Amino acid sequence: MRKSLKDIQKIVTEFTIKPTSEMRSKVLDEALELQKNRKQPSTSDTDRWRIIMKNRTTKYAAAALIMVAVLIGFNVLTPAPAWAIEQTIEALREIKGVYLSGVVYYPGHPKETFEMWARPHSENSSVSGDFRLQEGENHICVASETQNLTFVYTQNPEQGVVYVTEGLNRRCDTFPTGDLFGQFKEMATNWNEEYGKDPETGRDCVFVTFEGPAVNTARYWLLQFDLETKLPVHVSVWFSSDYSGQPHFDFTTITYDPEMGEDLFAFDIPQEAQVVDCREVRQMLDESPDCGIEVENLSIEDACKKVAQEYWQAVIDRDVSKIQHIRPLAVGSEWDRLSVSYETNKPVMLMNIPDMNHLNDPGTFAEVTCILTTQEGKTAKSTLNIEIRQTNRGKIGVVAGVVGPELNIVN
Amino acid sequence: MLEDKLLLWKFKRGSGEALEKIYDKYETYLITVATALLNNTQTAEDVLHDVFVSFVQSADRIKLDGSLKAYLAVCVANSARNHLKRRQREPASMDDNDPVDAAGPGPELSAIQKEQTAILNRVMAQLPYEQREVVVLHLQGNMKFTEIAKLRSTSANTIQSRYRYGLEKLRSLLNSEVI
Repeated sequence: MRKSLKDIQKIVTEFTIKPTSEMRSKVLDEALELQKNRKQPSTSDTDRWRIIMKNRTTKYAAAALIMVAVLIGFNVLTPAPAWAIEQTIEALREIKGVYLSGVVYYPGHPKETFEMWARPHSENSSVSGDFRLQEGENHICVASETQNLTFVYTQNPEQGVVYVTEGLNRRCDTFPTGDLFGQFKEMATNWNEEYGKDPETGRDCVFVTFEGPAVNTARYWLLQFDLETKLPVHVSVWFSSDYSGQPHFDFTTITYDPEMGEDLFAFDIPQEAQVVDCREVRQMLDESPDCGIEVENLSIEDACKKVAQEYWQAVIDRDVSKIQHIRPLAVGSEWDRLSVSYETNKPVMLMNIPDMNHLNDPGTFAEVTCILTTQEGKTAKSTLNIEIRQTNRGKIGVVAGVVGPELNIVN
Repeated sequence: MLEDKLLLWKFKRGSGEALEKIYDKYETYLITVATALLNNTQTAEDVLHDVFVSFVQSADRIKLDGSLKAYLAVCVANSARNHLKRRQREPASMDDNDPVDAAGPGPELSAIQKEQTAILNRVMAQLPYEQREVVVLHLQGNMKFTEIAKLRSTSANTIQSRYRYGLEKLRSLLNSEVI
């Protein structure tokens, strides 16, 4: 019987060659050797993330918030999912704790690993109560519900500093309520579900991608659910719509109800660290309501710059009353100490402000690093704590103190 | 496939395991495409070797527009074409006489299947390479004519013509064979 074109197409389509047993080694050995010696991909350099990344804790909290919103929002978007998301929803309702770890990456900066532990708040299970974030050994945040305090520790090269702030100012909203559903549903587009196997374990999984809420401009999400346990096993958010390059956040480990000892949420202040008790400093600042300069209509970044510039101009001009107007706690013995420091190394010019930290983090003061030139032609560095506060005079900026020495001669 | 994107992502980060998984996943598919294009299993294996070495060497530059499967098929097609060009410049060797069924289907395939494979390879080998490539990439590689046209810097109409002529010739050849 003569064959039709369709028959021919079918024959060609079904044509298969079975690989020989020796082929794998012949084809792959050299490639594997090359892969072993291959360097990790480098990242392009850009510093456009510099300011954003300094808001260290909020970025994790935001990502974690969105992540869990996504997990639960999934139920709303797909009413009859094949992997019985209802079981996941039920499990999420019973969560008494969560552990997350992974990698955060900003273009132009080295990747950083992080770990987070959180328990739901005893009175409002939609937010965390006890919370701990650890970013390497250099940045630790602990929020303690029983103490109603938050400790934020950063090990800077010159000086470690611990901010003690009142309330739970660092949190992980991993226990969201239904309020988030609608919000998330509005934000997610190009929702796509695909079934496959976990590349490492070979377990059956469903992979979900969509364009969703942006975390520092990364908005392409990839979620992976284990079909047997129904739990998410991988969550990442990418800058690139084709999921190439490095993900911004990559939650590689997600553990529900892990063992969490009380020590995890008790913060021991490191011996060498400078302690900035924000509660006390704010109380003292409250006693000088007329001090500070107006920064109305300025962004937090510009407001901090303006305060630093005017403060250093007053120091350079030896204008004591203006110094004390901008820095109201520089009085009495504190002023005596300060004036000696400024007399020893007289600043004559503010060169630049290369770094700002904690600009939008709740509870802590902003850290504004200033580079100055002294009368002797030396370069000095000073990191001011700046507070932008709302008063009955409007938005006011003050210098609340310094981190480390008043003037650190760097060369 | 997201699974592929995840694999590719891990591969680009230096994972040997991901490379092996990519290989294992597409081994049969790629050797079939390569063999169909080259009509010689040994040469097809050589081409696959070159493709995977090049895949690792250019890992940092890989950017997928479509699927990983299609990407690898294109790599195989390009490498096969280069191989044939090189071979045309070289004097004939023993390799040229190594038929596809010499290292083709394994023993578990029935004698009939082996025979069918051998016949198909024999007739495929009689197609001009341009037509064979389009037939293989379209039917085996699931590539659209427009994609193949882009790959070969020609028009989609030309590619469709090659496909039509190729398929007609295959029909004619196969109808004269017992298959």
